Amino acid sequence: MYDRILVAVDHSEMSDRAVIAARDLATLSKGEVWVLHLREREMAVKTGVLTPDETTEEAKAAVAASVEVLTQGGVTAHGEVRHTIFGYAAREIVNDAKEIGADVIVMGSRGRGDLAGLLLGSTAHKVIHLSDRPVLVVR
Amino acid sequence: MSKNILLAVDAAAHDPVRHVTAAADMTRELSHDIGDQVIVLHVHEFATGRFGRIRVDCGDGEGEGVVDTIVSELQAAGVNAKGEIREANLGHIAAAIWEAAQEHDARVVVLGSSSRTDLPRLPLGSVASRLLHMSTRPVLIVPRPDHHAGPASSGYR
Repeated sequence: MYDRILVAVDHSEMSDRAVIAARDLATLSKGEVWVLHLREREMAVKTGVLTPDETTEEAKAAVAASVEVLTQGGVTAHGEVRHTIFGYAAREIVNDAKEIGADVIVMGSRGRGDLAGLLLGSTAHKVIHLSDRPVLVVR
Repeated sequence: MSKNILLAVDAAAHDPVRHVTAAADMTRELSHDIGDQVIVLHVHEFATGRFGRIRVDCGDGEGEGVVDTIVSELQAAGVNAKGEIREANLGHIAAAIWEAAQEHDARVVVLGSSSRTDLPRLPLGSVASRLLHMSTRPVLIVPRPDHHAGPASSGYR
């Protein structure tokens, strides 16, 4: 039931909890976890391409750390860092979940890109609406 | 870590139980090895108008029927499950679910409801949406098996 799990991370506090939740779920049915970190690039007419604050190396290291957390918990884990256009992260998450045949998508309720006061961020909101599979929203 | 899981279900008029089967399955699996107690909750919705207080969520005994069916299915699978019925005023179902989650100290809330009567563009009911904004506990949203969401149908880009 929880054999294939996609966890979407951005290494905010909530997304770290999502990784732990994914680990616990995977342990239940000896599942496999895919850690996906999408870096949203913003395109602006005058300023060109705006990349996220973190460097590619930082992003890769953060995903590797999440994979390590999962592996130490005895869970098979894969990590991926990918670029996407600003606002497209939710779609990519949903498409990836389809591609790997994920039984459940796990994500934090709000990431780094969202306003601190928001209870449910824009990416989580879109994923819930777009996805045809179960979504576990963690805070 | 608390040992309770809250499974909130609604009763769809056309097919009372099937639409929450997926949610019940996922809940059963969640509780499998840990020995949690599953509380199956249905909230009756009441509207107050000129004719008094009228129940609007489902027909007589339908909510209870869904809860009983799922509780006995879970018990048959060896899960410690019990049913619970609550009442809420129109539009306050999410609040009632959240209250129950707090009272039972639920470590996760599973939502197996998505009403057809909500905004047509929204594959989820407003209950899911409101609950997600209220909850400080993990929420597992389980879409109906016949739910086909996607960029083409939902209007999201």
